[in-house]
Amino acid sequence: MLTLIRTTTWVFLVGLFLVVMYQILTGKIELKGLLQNGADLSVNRVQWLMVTMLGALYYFFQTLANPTELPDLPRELLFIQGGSGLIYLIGQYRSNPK
Amino acid sequence: MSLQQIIGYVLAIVVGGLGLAIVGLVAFRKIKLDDIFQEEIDENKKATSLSKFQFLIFTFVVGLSLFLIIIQKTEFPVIHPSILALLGISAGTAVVSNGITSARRTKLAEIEKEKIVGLAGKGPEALREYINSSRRPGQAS
Repeated sequence: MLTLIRTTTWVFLVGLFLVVMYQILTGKIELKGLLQNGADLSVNRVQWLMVTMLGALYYFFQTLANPTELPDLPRELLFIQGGSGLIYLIGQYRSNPK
Repeated sequence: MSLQQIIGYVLAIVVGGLGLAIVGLVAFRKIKLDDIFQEEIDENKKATSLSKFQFLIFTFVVGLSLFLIIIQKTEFPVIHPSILALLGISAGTAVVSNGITSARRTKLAEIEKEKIVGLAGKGPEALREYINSSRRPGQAS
């Protein structure tokens, strides 16, 4: 029974991930303008995406290194994520019409 | 086979089948995810939301790692407060970002309204011209 649960869970997770990635790569899930503010490239968005990817990769590799427990994230990473998000929000607010 | 095992197998098949059905429906585009990251910034325009994308990344990563550990250990792992804080930062940023976008939509609607009131004072021709120029393609006049 445990094998059945493991197999179906893996098939579900990997299948969903592959389907979503395929649809992103073929343009079916729209990501156009993800890093833009209007027509221009937005530095705020680029920095936030980079920090997000850094955090996600760190978390993922920590989990792979010790797959018996969830990682305890360092406080510095949380401060970086929070600060980066705040910079993004300030930039977004400032781009609103007054 | 005991009743417990039978119930376990039935639940595993039902839940597993549901999961696989969802993956199939998404793969064959019966469930469309095309606009999953889109948000309306005004009446005529949609933009890709980075906050929704970021929230999805963290949800996927944390959810995947949780599944990985549960499958390995068959028990629920300890979730450190730092992980909850990370998800909280991500969700909080998405919520505030939505609020800022909503405020932008309201402001743009107010500006549009003032423009129309101003044009109405100039006469019906000016107003008609403005409405026709701002109409979406394919929209009936």
